[in-house]
Amino acid sequence: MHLHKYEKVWLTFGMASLVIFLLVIGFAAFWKGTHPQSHLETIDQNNVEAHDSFKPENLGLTEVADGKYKVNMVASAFNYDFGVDKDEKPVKTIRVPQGSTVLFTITSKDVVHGFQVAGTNVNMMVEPGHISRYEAVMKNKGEFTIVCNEYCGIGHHQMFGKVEVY
Amino acid sequence: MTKKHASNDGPTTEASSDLKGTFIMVMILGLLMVGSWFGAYWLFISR
Repeated sequence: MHLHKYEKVWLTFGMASLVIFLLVIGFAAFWKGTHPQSHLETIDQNNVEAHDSFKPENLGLTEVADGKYKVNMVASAFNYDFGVDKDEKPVKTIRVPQGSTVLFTITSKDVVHGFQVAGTNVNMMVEPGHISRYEAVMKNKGEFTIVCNEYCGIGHHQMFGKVEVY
Repeated sequence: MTKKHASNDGPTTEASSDLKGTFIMVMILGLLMVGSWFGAYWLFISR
């Protein structure tokens, strides 16, 4: 079969891109361990408090080591539960220093919700019966809005919070 | 027979047709795709 010189060039370009992108996916999945945020770990959605991470006293921000934090949260229509502060008022802002590693752990009590810290890579689907986790390094200073990005009902737009990196 | 052979030259002339414009468009499309991939990757790294 005769192929034009140019055809050979773009076919090589196309096939090489395909191979490179497949290798990138393989590298991310098998070497870096990238996986869906809610994977394997399940929970009883009607009794999330039974799980250690979602006991009312364990909700919200906790420093686990120097520069390492974890945030446990429960999403429900139409609120994110980040625990309560000293005055027993619901927490709406999570404050962490710049450069810290934060493990966000969240589950849903009712329907599918979203958890996105807009402007960062933190973006998860929150499914009832599953635990979603995402660990992120907060590289940039600023205020980032937490939004629900899965339509969850009439009060969907009222589900929000804030992450402040100082 | 020889005459028939000569008429078979047709495809050969077609193969050497000018593909320069097609080549440029294919490469522009390819670079757009690769460029947008690296753009998204840069966003992921910088955030």
